[in-house]
Amino acid sequence: MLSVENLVKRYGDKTILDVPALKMNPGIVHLKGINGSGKTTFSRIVAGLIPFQGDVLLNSQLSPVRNKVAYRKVVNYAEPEPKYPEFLTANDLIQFVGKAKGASEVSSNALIEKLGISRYMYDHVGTYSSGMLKRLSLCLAFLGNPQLILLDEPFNTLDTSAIATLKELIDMYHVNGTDFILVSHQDMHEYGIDVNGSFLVENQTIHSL
Amino acid sequence: MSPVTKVIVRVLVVEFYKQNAAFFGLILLVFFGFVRGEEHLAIGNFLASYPSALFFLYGLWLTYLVKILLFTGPAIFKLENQFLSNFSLMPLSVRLYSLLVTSWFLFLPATAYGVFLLYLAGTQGFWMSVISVIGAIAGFILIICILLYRKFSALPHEPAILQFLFATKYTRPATLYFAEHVLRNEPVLFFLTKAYSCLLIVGTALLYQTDEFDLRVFTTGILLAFSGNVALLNKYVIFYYHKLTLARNLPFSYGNIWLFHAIVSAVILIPESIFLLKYYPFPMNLFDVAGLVVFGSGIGMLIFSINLMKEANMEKMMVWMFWMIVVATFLILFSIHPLAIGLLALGVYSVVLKVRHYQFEFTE
Repeated sequence: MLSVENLVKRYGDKTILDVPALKMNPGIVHLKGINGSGKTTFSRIVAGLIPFQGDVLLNSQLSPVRNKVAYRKVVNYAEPEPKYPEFLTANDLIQFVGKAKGASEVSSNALIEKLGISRYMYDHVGTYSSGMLKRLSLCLAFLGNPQLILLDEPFNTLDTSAIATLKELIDMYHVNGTDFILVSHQDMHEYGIDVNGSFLVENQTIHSL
Repeated sequence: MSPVTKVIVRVLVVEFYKQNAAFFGLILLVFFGFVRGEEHLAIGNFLASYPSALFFLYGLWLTYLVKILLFTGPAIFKLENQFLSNFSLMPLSVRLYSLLVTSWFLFLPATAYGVFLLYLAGTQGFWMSVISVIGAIAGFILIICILLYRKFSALPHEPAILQFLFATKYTRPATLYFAEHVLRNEPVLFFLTKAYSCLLIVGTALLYQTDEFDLRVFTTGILLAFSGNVALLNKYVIFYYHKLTLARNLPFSYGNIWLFHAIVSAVILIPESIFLLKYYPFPMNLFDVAGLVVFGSGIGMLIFSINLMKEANMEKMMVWMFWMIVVATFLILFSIHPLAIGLLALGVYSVVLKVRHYQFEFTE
């Protein structure tokens, strides 16, 4: 699903990540690590949000560096603590991201209903609770036809019904061929998610468990 | 003062003056340090004797009112001030009294200067000015009071009906996100920038009522006017690359991104372009005017590019801004047409965007 070659991420003199080689097989992968280990930095790199040295390859074909558009069309990302300009509405963001990712109106509406966003669809994001923001970011991450979805701390701030919905969505998309990287310090079995592989971020690198 | 009023004053007024202590310190330094007593009297007498000149003062008071509102609005909804939601349960008379006192305290510095003017106008018999100043002070205090009343009455998660209707019928185009962001969060910066650049364009254009027209001098004025947008364009880069992080996960082609930033910058530069088209000196032909619009836009995009190259760090950017103005002035003085300089600037923007769009990372 995902391979990494000579990935290095530095801020000034400080090395955050140095991963010479890494291969993640298709399916649902769990990326673990303590706070500050570099999990979010890695997921932001894979999502194509921040620059880095080296390369990342999706399905041995697409790279965020060389295939900027094609890669981003099929790799989606939900942030751990989503923040959006406070005056936008969920509708604005879903339309914006949905159009870019090529999501159909039917599939967008289905996600909106499933994640319970419709009741605050037209309110300003600045008035949302952290749980509402999380639902919105998850909705954005499932838009389009993603081959890989990165969910960073996906269960944080969600209530029990939203957790069940998210689990359903992961199962549904996985059956249809979408791979997942779940970035979390929590145990995925607690949420009833069977992972195909686990990786640990520690000492500025990532290794298989 | 009633206990309720005391609480509101502590939360809003005391905090407002605490947060703006440096600002008021600077004002006091200017007023009682640099300006002498006779000069105070001269300015005061001038304002008191010309009621129309008072509107300049009211403009300043309006800016101060915006400053007050920018503080009080978010302060009411701060987490630690959640207890203020009980205020709406008080009797109407208590609420109005408390808010009137609070508004007056917030507007006190302006009121103090107003009293000074009233004294000057009253002793010299300028009764129109007296009425105007009293009306303005009362009006401003009343506006603050009404807006505070509305803030206290609104529940934070309750959208207004008009806002709801608007949101259901209209989806914001992404190219207008930044314009709305800056108008909501940085209105003073926006209006001061536009006032500076538009006045500079008008001022340079008016030179040719008496002087012989010289495209080079006019183009230099346009260069300085459009360069005035440096802070706004810096805010834009931070907004797009930092606050709207998800945008870089979207599959936009290079052409799309190029056009997107160009449209957003064009939206920011609309006031300057309108002033340029309205006030351009008569001897200029339309080709020159079009060239100057491209030139101004090119300067805007060049400033955007400098942001990308220097991590949107204003300190690092200033050296590049200086050299940009030096090089542009040099080209202007050698009679290179503004259209050519504008196209060159757009070319630089195209290259920088290609190289830096995915390499840029803003860190706070």
